[in-house]
Amino acid sequence: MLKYKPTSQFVVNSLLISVLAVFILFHIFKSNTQIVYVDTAKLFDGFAMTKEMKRVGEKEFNSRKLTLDNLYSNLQAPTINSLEKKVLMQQFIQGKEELEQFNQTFAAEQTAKIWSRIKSYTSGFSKDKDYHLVIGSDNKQTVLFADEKIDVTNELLTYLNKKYEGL
Amino acid sequence: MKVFNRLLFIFLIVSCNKESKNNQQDSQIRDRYFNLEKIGWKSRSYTQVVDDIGFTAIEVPIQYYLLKDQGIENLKHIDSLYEENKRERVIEFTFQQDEEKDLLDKDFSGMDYTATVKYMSFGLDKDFYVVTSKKDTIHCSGVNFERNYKIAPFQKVLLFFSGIDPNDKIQLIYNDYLFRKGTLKFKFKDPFTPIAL
Repeated sequence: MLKYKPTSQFVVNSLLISVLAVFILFHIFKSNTQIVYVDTAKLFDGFAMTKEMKRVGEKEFNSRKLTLDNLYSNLQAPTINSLEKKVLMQQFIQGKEELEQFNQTFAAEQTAKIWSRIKSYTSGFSKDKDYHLVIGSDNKQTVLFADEKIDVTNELLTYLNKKYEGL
Repeated sequence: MKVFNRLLFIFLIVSCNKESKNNQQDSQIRDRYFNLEKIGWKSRSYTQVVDDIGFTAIEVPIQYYLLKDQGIENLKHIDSLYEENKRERVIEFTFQQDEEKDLLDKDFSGMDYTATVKYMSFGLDKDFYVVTSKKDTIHCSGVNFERNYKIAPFQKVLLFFSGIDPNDKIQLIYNDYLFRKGTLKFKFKDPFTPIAL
């Protein structure tokens, strides 16, 4: 019968190998969690910049609409002559065109700015959290399934709003 | 004679007290300026990066400019000037492209070089305002564009605000119409970080 007596070197080596194995396992496990998912619709709607821009847009829209309404009521007044009516009509048409133009461009421009900001802040968030990939989906078509454990929408939304407020 | 001695004694005590009070004040002023000097005269910098442009806001204590102008010989005079102007705030604001490209170029602002320089010199103050902790809005009272003629890879402006409590924590808001990046906010947590001596 062969008898084996463990030496101190053997114990140290075994310990080191065990630590290495644990480290590799931890690393593999960790690398699996570095892909996260966010609900982009929730992110966009909840972002403070979106809410602010909505308020700004509505204020501007209402102000322009009020001017147009005033022009329209002036046009309906029986006291104005045909020359004044012609000038007012021209102003009304121009104002209406500008309002339509504003309606089309404002939303598109602001949406682009908001997404650009979300992307910039998300980059910082990913670096802080050591995420390799942040997948965004709002219609559940591009991402068919995402585990709740990797859904970081709320966490990212809090981060975005803090960053936006300059904190 | 006895009365005279008593009077002399009281006079000495009173004069000594006054001197010690003056010394204490002097020492407090020196301590304050020493602390400011040690923290590098600037508050923490706050940076917002949007796309490829970094916007950095740093608050500079007004004592820095007073000392630069008046020298360090008479700190009491500096302190009295500070007391008169302590409701003023100066913020250093820097724009920098991440590849160190010139932000005054048409590619970034959409305007030609001269128009961009003009806007930075005379039109930028309308884009900045400060919100105090009491939610008061303070508009920018002036802006000074430090031109560097393409030597430095950034553009720096000094912003001036008046009527703000010196201990108030402020939030700087910038509506970026120049580079069209939207609203940017910078919250200054502490006016100056005190250090232990």
